[in-house]
Amino acid sequence: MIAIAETLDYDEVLEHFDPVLGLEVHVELNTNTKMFCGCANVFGGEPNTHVCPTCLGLPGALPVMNARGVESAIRIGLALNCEIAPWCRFARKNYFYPDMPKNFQTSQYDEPIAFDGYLDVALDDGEVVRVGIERAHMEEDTGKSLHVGGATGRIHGAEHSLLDYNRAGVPLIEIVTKPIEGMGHRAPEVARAYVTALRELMLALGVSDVRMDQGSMRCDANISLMPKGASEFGTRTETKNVNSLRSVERAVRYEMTRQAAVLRDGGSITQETRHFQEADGSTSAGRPKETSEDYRYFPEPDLVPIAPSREWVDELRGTLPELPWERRKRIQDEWGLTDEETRDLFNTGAADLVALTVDAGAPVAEARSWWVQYLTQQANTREIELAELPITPAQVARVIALIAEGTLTHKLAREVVQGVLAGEGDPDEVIADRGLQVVSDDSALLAAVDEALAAQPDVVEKIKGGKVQAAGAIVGAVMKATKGQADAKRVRELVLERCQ
Amino acid sequence: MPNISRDEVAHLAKLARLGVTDDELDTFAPQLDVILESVAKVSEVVGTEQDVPPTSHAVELTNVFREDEVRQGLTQEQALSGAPAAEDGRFRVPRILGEEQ
Repeated sequence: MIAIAETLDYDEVLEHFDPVLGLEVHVELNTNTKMFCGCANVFGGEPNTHVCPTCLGLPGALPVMNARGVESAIRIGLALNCEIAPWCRFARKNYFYPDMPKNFQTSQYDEPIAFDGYLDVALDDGEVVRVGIERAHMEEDTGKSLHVGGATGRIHGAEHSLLDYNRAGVPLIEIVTKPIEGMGHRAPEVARAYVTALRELMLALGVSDVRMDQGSMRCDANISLMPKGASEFGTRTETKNVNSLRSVERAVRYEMTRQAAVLRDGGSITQETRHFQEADGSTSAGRPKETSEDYRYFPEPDLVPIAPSREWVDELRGTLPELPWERRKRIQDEWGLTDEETRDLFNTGAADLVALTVDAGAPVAEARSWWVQYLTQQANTREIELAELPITPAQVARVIALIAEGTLTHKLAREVVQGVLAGEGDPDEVIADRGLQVVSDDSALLAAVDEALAAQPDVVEKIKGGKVQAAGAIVGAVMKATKGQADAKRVRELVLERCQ
Repeated sequence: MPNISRDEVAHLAKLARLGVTDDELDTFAPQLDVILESVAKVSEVVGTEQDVPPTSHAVELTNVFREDEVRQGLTQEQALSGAPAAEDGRFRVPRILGEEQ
């Protein structure tokens, strides 16, 4: 049904065209309540159990702004180096669609609360690109629809649809970039890096849980191409549904290659919404884009304007936490890391975990090594985020301490960690249950050594005759007898002592 | 000077999901034109010299907020009680034509 679009080879795209990006990111705020009513703002829940006359758009119900929603919007604006509007209003965006029970969405139009800022974004190789922020404005989320009767659960072919308005009215901040130009082949990477940086910023601010998989952070990517040397932007498409960091990069790349193929064949780009297909990384045509006049925006008469005083804005500025890039710089300096080490630390998502492990008493180098290497591998194998591994920084610190005091060898330590990951309890419990402690008690070792010596008298003779390397056979036997839990170096010393 | 065309009225009717016949368009377009002209008179009174900014609210209030505290809303049963159709705790609506907004 969906025609597979032709695409141009990526390198060829860049020979002829310059990409221009514009990214719109929606962030759901983690306020306790919705933006304009006191209904709980929670993910999921039984359908239509977090609703009231206001968010259902019942006659006579009036909205009142959530103070914390506005505060979060201002804090986001400040962290994005934006101007904060001294006076602004909400507007009604009128359209008919069952996911908005009011038949309009309360949004901001030409008076956004924050505008004209920037975000510095670190690329994979450490280069920093400054992405301009056009605006950050407040609006509300829509309800969720379920399409029934179609084979695919999509609108097409559905017989009817079912609506759950628990999400309707949840506060959203839409953050819109200025056109991102001149990135060439790195445009897809810049798009991913920007959304990644924005996500980290929201986490640091504590304003949203930014779960792309749950839709609390969503990205729409506007993409256009202009012939090399041209100064006027080409016609853009807006790809929606881009719901993971990796997808952002794939969607931009795909759309560049698709548009280039159309343009090369003398065609023109239709200004339209396109849907990202997670399965194959392609995009498919959606509706033609409405002009903004069609939404017949007008100032919301049921809400009064917002006029944040200088004092209030300054107070909120004072609540900004250490921002991700400041923290990155501080950690690099404090721990004396190279650029590459810093990059690995942050790219693996290990920074917080390492810091907590250090707080729990572990040296930086060991903590970093465990999280960035071994545990990152474990997370990758399980296809989960590092922070989702079922092991705590305190447990990792304990394992590191046990190695330092000689209770565990590195090999045994990994076994202990595997035990913790398997849900067998704290490191000490795993050691006790699996009997993993290094045998360093000389009397226990000597018994094993004597037994091994008695079993191989010929080897004893060789050692006594000066062939010290023959001790290896005895050491091996002892290690086998102690199931690898002996300190091999100490065993060797004991063997040589006994043979003197 | 306002001058709303028949086509513009037809377009607005479409956006508002109103089924307007050709005859109705012939009637409504001139009527709307008269309404717009009347409203435009207000602009004349205000004039361009005088500093009377447009307002969206009759009362000069700003910053009316509520605390971020949960208030009991409706139960699912109450929420759906006025709905023409419901299914599985959700509002049931006819087939949606066109794309997701």
